[in-house]
Amino acid sequence: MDAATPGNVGPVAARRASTLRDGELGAALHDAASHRKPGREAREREIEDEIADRVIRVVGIDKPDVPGAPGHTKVTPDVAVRILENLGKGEPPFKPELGKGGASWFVVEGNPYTGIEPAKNTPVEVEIAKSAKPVRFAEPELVKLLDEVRQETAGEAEAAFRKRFGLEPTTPLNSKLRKSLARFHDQLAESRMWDQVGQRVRASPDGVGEVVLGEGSRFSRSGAGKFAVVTDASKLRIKGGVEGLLRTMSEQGISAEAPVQQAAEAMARQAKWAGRVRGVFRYGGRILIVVGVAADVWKVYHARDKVKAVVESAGGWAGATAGAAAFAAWFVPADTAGPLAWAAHGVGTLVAGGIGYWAGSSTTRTIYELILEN
Amino acid sequence: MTRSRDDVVAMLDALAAPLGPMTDHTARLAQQDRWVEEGGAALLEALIALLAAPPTQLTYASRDDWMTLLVEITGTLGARHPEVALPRLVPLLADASARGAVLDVLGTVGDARALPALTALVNDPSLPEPDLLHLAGALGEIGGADARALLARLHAAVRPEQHALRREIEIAEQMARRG
Repeated sequence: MDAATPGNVGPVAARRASTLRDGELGAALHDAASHRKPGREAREREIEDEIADRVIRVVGIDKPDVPGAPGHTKVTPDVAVRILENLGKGEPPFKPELGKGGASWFVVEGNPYTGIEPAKNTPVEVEIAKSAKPVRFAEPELVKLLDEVRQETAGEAEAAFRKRFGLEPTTPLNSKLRKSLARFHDQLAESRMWDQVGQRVRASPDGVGEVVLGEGSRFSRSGAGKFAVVTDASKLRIKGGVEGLLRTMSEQGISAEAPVQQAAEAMARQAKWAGRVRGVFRYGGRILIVVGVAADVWKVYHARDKVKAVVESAGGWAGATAGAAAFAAWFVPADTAGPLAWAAHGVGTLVAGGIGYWAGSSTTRTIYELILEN
Repeated sequence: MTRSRDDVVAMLDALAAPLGPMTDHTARLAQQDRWVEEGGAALLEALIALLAAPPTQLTYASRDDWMTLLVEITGTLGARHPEVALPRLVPLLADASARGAVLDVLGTVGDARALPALTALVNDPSLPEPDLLHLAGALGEIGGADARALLARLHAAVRPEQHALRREIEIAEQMARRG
C-alpha cells in the first residue's frame, strides 16, 4: 500500500502528512523531531496520526465480507485474549490447526454436549462462511468410526491404563479393573474418533464439515444438535468483531487488574494515541491493549509488563524513564518499509515509550511498567 | 471443607460423561486428577456417602460409567486416607445394595485392617454370587497370607457351575501372590 498521488513532489518537510508516501513518513517524523521550530509538536502529531491511520487500514478490518451461518463455542479467558491478539495482527481469529483433530468446533444448532470444563467459560459467537459441500457425520458414521478406532487402540489403551494405575503388564485384571479399563478405553477411543473427524474434514475440498447428533445420541445424552467443524481459518469471523468480543470479555470480568489498566490509559495519554483504551488484558506475561479509534476501527498494542516492587524513597519512576529511553533508542525514523512493516515491528515504537504506575503500601510500591513491543 | 452432595454428583457426572468433540482425553484425566487432588479427605467422605445412596438421575453420564468412576476415585482417595476410609466403609458392608461397590473400594484401598470384616463375609453362606465376585477381587488386591487363606476357602466352596466366580477367584489368587 502506498499513498503516493500525483503532485507528491517537493521537500518532505513542507508537505501535508496525508500526501506523503509511506516511505517518506519515517523521514518526515525524524525531520520534525530533530528541529526545534514552533509547531514541531503539532507536526509530529500529524505525522504520527497519519502513520497510525495507515496501520489501522492494514490491521483494523474485521468486518466479514459475506454474512455466514452463526455458531458459538466457549473458550478459556486466555484463548479469548489470543483471539483478540490475532484480530489485532490482522490474522483470522481462530487457529483451527491447534484444535481437536486440527479443527475448530462450533455449535450451530440445538444443544449438543460440548464437555464440561469450568475454565472454558467465555462464550464466543462466530460467523462461518457457508460451504457448498460440507463433510457430514451423523450417528451411524460416528459409531462405525468409533468401533474402528476402539479396535485400533485396544493395546494402547490397556498400556496407558496400566501405567496410570501402576499395574505391571502381566498383572491379571479382576472384574473391577476390567470395567475401569473399558471406561478408560471408551474415552480414549472417543477422543481419537473426534480427532479423525477433524482430520477427515481437513482433507476435504472445502475444509468444512458438520456433525449431527440426534436425540439419545451416545455422544450427547443431554441434547440433540449440530456442530460445524472448520479447518480453514479464513472461513471464520467473530460475530460483532472486536467490539463484540470485548463486550463478552467485559461481561465475564476478564481484564487486567486496575493498576495495569490505569497504566495503559496513562500510556495512551502520554503517547497521544488516537482513540480510547477499551480493554487491557494480561496473558502469558504480556499485556494486550485494545484501543477503539472509531466504529469498527481498532488498534491492538502489546506491552511487556515489568512489575517491580520498590521502596518509596528509591525514586520509582526511574524504571519507567528507563523504559522510555529504551524505546527512544528503538525508534528508527529511516524505517521506510511502510505500515505493514510498522505493524510487524511494533506500532508502539512509533508512538510511545514506557510508563509506570504506583500502587501498594506507603513504604513499598509496585510499579507496573508497560513497554510497548511488537 | 465439606462438599455438597449435589456438587459431587454433578462433577462425577461431568467426568464420567462422553468427552464430546471439544475435550481431549488427557485434558479430562487432568481435570479429574486436579479435582481428586484438591478434594482430599473431605471429598472422600462425600464419595463414601454416595456409595450408600447414589443419585437416581444423571444428566450426561450413564449410571454404569458414573458408578465405575465413583468406585475408582473413592478407592484412590481411600488409599491415601485409610484412617478416614476404613471406619466409614466397613459399616457399609452391611448394606446389601452398596456392598459390591464398597468391596471394590476396599480392594483399591488395599489395607489389611479390613480383613476381619471380609472374613465375616467369607463365613456368610448366604452371600450372593455377585458379592462373592467383589469379595474375591478385594481379597486379591489386599493380598498377604491372611487374604490368600480366605481366598483358598472361597475357592474350595465354589460349585462346579460357578465358572465366572472360579475365574475371578483364580485371578484374585494370582494378584494376591504378586502383592
